[in-house]
Amino acid sequence: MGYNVLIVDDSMIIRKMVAKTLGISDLDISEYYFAENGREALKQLETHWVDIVFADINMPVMNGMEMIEAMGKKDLLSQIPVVIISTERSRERIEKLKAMGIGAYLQKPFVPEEFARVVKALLH
Amino acid sequence: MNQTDRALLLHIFASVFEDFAFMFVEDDPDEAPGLQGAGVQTRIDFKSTSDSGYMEVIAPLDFCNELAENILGADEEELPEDAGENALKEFLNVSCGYFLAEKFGTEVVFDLTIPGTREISGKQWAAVFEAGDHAYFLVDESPMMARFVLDS
Repeated sequence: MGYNVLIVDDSMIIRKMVAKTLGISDLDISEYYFAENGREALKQLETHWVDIVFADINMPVMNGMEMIEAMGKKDLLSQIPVVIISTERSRERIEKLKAMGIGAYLQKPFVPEEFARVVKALLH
Repeated sequence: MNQTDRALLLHIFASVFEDFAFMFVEDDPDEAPGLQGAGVQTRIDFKSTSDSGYMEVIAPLDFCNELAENILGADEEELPEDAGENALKEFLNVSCGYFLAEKFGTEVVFDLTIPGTREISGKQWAAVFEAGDHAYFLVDESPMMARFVLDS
C-alpha cells in the first residue's frame, strides 16, 4: 500500500511542484491531499489518514509553525513527520523548527534528488 | 537602490532563475525593449527588529506564463489561468529570502509578507523605466525590472 501525502502551501506553483517531484520519484504514493494554509491542513488531517506532511512556513490564516504546534497537541497527529519547505534562512527560526520536532527542512528551490532522499529516509 | 544592492539583487536573481526554471539573466543589455501586452508587478515586504522595506519585480505577463511552464515542466494549456502570476510571486518570495540572508546574515530573523500583485500597462511600465529607480535586465530575452528598498 502506498503513502498518503498532504502538501500545505499558499502557492499553487509549489503545491504542484512538490506533487510532481513526488510523482517522478520511485515512492509509492496513493493519495495527494492539498491545503493552502495550516488551518485547512488540520481539517484535512482530521478526515484523512496522512503519512507525511510537506509544509511552508509563511502562509496566511495559519502559518506552518502554528500548524506544527497544533499538530503537537494531538497524539495521532504529533507522530506524522513534517517536512518544511521554505525560503527561511534565519538560523534561529530553523533551530526552533527542529526543536519543535520537524522531520526535515528543505530550502526552496529544492533539488528533486535531495527531496527524494529526505522523504525516503523519513518514510522507510 | 545603490550599486551594491543592485549587484547582489542581479546575482541572486540569476541564481534563482537558473535553479528554479533554467532561465538566464542578461544584465546591462544593448537594447531595452519595452512592455508588449500586459505586465505584472509583484511586491513582498519584510521586517526584522531593526530593518524593514520591500522588494518588487515587474515583468510581462507572457514571461510569467513561461516561468510557470518552466518551473513545472508543463505546457500552458495544462496550467490554471493565474499560474504566471503565482510563479512570479513565488520567484520573488524565494529571491527575497536569499537576498536578505546574503545582505544581513542568517542571525537576523525576518518576517515576510505574502507577495501582492497588480497588473500594469505599457504606459505604467514606461514611467517606471524612465524614473530609473529599478534595475533593468533581460531574462531569456524578456525585459524585467526590479528594486530593493530599505526604509530609512
